[in-house]
Amino acid sequence: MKKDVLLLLFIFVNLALILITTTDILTLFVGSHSIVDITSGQNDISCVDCHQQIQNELNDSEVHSDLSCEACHRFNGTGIVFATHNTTGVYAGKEAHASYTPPCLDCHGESGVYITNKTGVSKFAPPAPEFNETYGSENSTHKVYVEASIGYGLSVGENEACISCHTNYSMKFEFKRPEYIQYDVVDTNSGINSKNWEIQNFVRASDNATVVWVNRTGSKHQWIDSSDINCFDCHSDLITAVENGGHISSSLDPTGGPGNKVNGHAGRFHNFSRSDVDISICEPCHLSNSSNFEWDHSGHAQLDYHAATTEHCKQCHKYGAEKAIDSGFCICPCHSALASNGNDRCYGNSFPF
Amino acid sequence: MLEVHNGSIVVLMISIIAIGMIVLPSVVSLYAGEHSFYDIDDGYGGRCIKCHADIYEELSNGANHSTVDGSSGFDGEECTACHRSNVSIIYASGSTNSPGREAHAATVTHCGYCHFNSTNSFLAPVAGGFGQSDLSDDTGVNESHYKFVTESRSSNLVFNESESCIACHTTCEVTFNFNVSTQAKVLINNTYSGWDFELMQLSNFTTYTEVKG
Repeated sequence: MKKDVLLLLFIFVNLALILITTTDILTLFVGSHSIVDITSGQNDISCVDCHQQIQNELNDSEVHSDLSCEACHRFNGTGIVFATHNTTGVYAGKEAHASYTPPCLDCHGESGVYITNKTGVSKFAPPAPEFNETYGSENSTHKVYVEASIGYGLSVGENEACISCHTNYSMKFEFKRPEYIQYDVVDTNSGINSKNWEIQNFVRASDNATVVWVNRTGSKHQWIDSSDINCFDCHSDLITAVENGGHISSSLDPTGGPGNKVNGHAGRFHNFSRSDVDISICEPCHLSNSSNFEWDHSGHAQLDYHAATTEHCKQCHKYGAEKAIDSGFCICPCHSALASNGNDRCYGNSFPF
Repeated sequence: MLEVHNGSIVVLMISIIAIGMIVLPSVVSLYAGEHSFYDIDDGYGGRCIKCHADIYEELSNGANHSTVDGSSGFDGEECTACHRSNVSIIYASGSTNSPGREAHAATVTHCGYCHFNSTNSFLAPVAGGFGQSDLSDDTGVNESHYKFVTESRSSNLVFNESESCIACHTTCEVTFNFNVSTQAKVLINNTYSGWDFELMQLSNFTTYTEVKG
């Protein structure tokens, strides 16, 4: 009984104290008048306080995990004036206050830059080969993608294209191609020994859509090391195409002679296994620098590209490779007809590949 | 023994009550001090603290604004420097003995009132880089948080753009729900002229929460 009375008394006393000491007016946004000191010369406002998720992504990244947020988002090589408050004074920002969204090429364009990482070590940001002002050769395969990215407006600069290959952001590509082409090769000359071949009744079949889903973690701040980028992530449909005899002309030339054409074009470099498709079959055509085509470097070999080139037949068979059979470019009647009117491609203007 | 003890308590209580009847006034005011008026001829001093002690405590523990009243250190006058600073508003004034018009004691202010104004009387540094200040070279075209600032203006939580300022520059707890895409869809069409990148759309949005405490 006595204990109960004491307990009640204790509660009443405490309630009374709370009533006396508590402010009747409560602030809705507690801390809103407690200003952070930003005078140290470093960034005193922690980006991670609001962007912990980004930091987590960065921690799991193969590249850039040693960089601070400021290294990229307050990169000082652009001419952008950020707001600064340090021991020497206060400087108002101009183009940006706290940070900017950096185009990848701010660091990886032109000849690259040096950036100081978290531990004070100066690290070199290598340039993305040829993705500078001109984006490389016309035959640089992804040039059109990079140029299109500028117009998408979903990120800054060309970042959409960079992110597609170099981060764990997921992608869904829908490639639309004509299902097939069909044409008649007609000899319009009635003479027995004199032929005049023409391509007639060219038909471009309706488009066939192929969807390639690159299902990753979805993180834009998880970069993939260049050595781990797999062309087939985005072009897995080509594995199926190659396995089924498509994408590139087949050649089986058991005697090595150009006249022994079996199942398609003659030539040694078109021979590859279609049952065990890997990146090595892409290299001869799409990675000129690493191919064994022995380019003569006459100016036609595509050495100014980023990831891969889009090669046309003539790159080897007229200009580029010593070991490619120099057909004089399209001496065969079909190709001659298709390549007429000054066309550089074996298929002429009517067919896009 | 017990009876003697109880008797003493009774005597003590009667004594206390008697003293209380003599000492306490017969008429008790419900609101003590309500007729004791402040002299505001020389300003408000630290009067705001009476009701807003928590704000004052935050301010005095913070890094800035200690000199907005023209003197170093915190004494409570800082409140009026900001909350009676709007030159387009006529506040009630004891020093000039004039009534207020648009406001009596104080107005809700916003950070940009001073920090977007390069001629502010407090010499407050201009928050350039958002394209919001009166500095001619303040474009803010590259600022990541530009939308945060401009969108804050349409929010009714705090006056004008102050939500965004408070989020970074104070210790106020803020909860962010980031809605981000984790995938993009690209439509590529093989046309007669080559590959045409027709479309790129963001998709697979997901929301995660960040709490800045």
